[in-house]
Amino acid sequence: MGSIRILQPELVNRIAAGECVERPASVVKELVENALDAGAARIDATILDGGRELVQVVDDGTGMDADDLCLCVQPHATSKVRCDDDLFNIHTMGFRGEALPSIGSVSRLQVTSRTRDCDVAHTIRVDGGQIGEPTPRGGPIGTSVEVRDLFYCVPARRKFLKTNQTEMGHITEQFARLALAHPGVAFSLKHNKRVFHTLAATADRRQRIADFYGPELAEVLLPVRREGGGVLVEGWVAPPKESRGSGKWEYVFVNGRHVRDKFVSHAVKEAYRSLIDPSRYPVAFLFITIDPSRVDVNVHPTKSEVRWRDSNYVHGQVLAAIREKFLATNLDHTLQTQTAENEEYQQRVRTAMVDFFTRGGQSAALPRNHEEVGSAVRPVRTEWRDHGSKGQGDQGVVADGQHSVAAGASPAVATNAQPVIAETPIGQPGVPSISETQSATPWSLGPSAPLSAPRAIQIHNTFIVTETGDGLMIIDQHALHERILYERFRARIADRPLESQRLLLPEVVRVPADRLEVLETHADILQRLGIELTQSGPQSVTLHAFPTLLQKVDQQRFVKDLLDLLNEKGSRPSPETLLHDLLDMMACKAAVKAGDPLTNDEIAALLVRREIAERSSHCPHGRPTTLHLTLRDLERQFKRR
Amino acid sequence: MKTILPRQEFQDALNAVATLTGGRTTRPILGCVKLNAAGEQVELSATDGEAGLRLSVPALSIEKEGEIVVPADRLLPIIRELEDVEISLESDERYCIIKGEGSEFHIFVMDPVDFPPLPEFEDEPDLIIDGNELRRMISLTLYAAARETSRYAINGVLWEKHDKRLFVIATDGRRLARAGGVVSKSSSGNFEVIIPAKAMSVFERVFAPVRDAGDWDVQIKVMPNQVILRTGDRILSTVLVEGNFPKYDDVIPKEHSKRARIGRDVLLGAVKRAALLTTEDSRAIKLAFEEELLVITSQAPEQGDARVEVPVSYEGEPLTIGFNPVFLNDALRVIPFEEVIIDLHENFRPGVLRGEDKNEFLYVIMPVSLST
Repeated sequence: MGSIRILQPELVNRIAAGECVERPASVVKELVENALDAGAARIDATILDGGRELVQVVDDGTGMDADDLCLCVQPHATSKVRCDDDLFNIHTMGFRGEALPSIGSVSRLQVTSRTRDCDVAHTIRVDGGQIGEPTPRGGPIGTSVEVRDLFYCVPARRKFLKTNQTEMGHITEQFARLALAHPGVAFSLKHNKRVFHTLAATADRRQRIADFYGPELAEVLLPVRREGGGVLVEGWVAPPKESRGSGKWEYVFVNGRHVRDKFVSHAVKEAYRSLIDPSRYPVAFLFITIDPSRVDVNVHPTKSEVRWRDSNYVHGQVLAAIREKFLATNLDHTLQTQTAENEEYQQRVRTAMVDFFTRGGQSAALPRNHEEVGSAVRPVRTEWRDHGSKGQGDQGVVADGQHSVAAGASPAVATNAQPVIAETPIGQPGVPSISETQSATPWSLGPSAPLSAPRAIQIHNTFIVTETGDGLMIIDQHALHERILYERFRARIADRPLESQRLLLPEVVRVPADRLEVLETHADILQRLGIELTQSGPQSVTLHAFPTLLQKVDQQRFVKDLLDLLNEKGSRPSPETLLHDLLDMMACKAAVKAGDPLTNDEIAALLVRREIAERSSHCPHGRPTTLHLTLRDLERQFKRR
Repeated sequence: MKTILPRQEFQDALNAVATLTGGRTTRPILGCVKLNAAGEQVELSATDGEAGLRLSVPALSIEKEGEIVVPADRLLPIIRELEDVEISLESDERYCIIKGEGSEFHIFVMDPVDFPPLPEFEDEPDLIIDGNELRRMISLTLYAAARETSRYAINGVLWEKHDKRLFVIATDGRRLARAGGVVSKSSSGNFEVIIPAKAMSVFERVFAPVRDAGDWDVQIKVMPNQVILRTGDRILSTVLVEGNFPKYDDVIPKEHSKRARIGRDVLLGAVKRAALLTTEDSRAIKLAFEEELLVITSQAPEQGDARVEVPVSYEGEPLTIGFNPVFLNDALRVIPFEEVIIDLHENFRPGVLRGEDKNEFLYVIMPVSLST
């Protein structure tokens, strides 16, 4: 008895503060939301020293009189909810009556407000939870809230505040979410006298997107809209080729409130499935309007989550909205083919096979007619010409259908060929195990030694088909090149830092403010990669040097993705993992893409490097680079066996 | 239309306009050439949607005037394979009929109405410049232009007219080339326009001194969104690149503490040899300057290295600096001077290549940071 006590109200507030006031950005969020609920047409936020010294939000909303002012700093005092039913029919941003008292309990808070009917404004101070008396003073209509010395009385929390840059990154992010959701309100954001954003009221949300993320992105966005069953889904999504390396580019708003919702996220992901690489994230800005009684926002202290009454319906509507748009839009062809999934892929491989046999046979018989075969097919003729007769011999044998050939041909190959590098003995000629077990799908995956005279053709500018000792290989040019480059970069960077070309005209790249922190946290890795970046503005970095081995890569896009990736990975992943991810990204960007036509020399070089590269059978993501088809499989398909 | 044309001249003209019809396009009409028989000649036009080219072939006879639009990738091989001195060309609404000795071809034509109109060269030219001079300026700079970067403005070549001088500037953000020349006649004020690199390379290929290698002039007309160049009956028009070309003056170094003089051929040869042992991923050669001696070294990881020594006249503290050999090679290949001057400052600051011609040509090149 005597060890359990009712907590002092100040302590209760401080504990509550821990839930909704996490850092200066949460203060900005709470105050701006209050301003929005007060019907403001203009909201100005001023920050000093990353929010440590001051967060001030001034609005021109309805304001409060002296009595309301006294109440507003009391816990669970709100004008927004009156009875139980209201709680399930919320139209305002706030409703819990927690924000101001919580903030007041951990800072020096001053609220100044004046209503339209009142001649004079009143101001009230709360100092670490001690509430003062309202005093009259001059001031415009509306409310001004000043939060000074946040967490001054909670040293433990103050210690956890990060650098100004980081805190401003979070503040900008919160600010962007609010401003995106309320385009009809004019906003401004200042930090240490520097103006970050000045946003005029606009009817066009896309204008807001352009303000924050650049006109280049805003221009390519595709509008989506779908209405039905009391749910309106509207917004913009980026075409798949504008994908990003981070999931932060998905903005979902429910009734004007930014939320993270797993149902909506899943629907977006579904809509983009097979259109973007699994490791990439779509860019989407979705605004969902739904009857407030059908969604519960009172789930999380910061209201960043919602609970749907019918989540499946919302999921379906979002998915349908985006999918409809994509079906009606001609999306980038190369990207579609690049990540084509199973069925389409298999179909393409089959088409490729047909092409190879109809045209490849011709080209062997009539080598002079190559140019007329058509641009989609490019026979390679390299220095292997003197082996040509033997190659033709093989083909003739296939036609004759002498079954012993498959086994018979390979020793001959081994004798006059370069050393056969077989990483694993799967698919060795004459060993039918694979084909036996996979009789339903005659495609066996696995490396195999190419013939000494690799005649190869590129088909559909995407796959390379070449002959091997015991059949043929179909190579995904992008996947293979990516793997080769990855291995090369890895070997290269283990050796010494990458050489980097300095730029005569440094390139300015626009990035969201919260990405800037990685410039410091990952300075060492950037240096190893030969990338020199400096901050040049509240939302931009300048590129001064770029690795020579990426000289064909679009620098703008690379820097954006790089910062996204580093930011996404958080502060301290193991350097090894991070380097793997970065090299992977570099390799992917530097590699030839599906749809890129290759010259004969390039194809030959790719095939030669395939043998040298380690683990060339799979790309760094683990997808296969090569399909192998043995003579035995072919014979089986042609019912010769 | 019905006409008889000299085959060789017609083929040359088709080859010239094919520089614009060859690209990949989704609009079939852009792969076509328009033939317009009128008066005593047949005019050929082609466009890729941005640049347009027109030139004429004198006809041996024109029986019936008219115009047709024919796919160039069909017409050109036919004309090339025919062995006649003269060929006959006639058209009805559906076909273009080409006749040579014993051969006859019918090609489907497209409606001339759909062919994009090309601008006329009207009124007086704004500028006249010696053709060889302009070609020289373009070949000295074009290689430095960016290709398909997201900074659209530098995908073009800047023309800056200043009184009686014309400067041509190109950069890809890593190096910058500038060449200057004298305008022979000018009736316009000063201007700056950005011309797409594609149009400049078409100019280089098509506007050569054809018959006698004597003087030839290029007349230039500059309009708000396009520029037209004319020599005789050849007219090249192109849209301009929108956007702002970077303030290139700011990146041309104003000071240098070291200067090397070296024979162009000597340096070019040395750079080429050293570059043999560079790879795609470490594309850099190291230039170590000291009094009387330049040592160029390179290293290809896991493959080997190279060392080339050449004599140089050099003033200043010894300096080791890395450059992309491709960038050096690009400029050294085309500059017409026997001796080049290289001004340097520090190994992370740009170097400047020039010749003894009063600062007309210069090539600013950013170094590659050398790993230690």
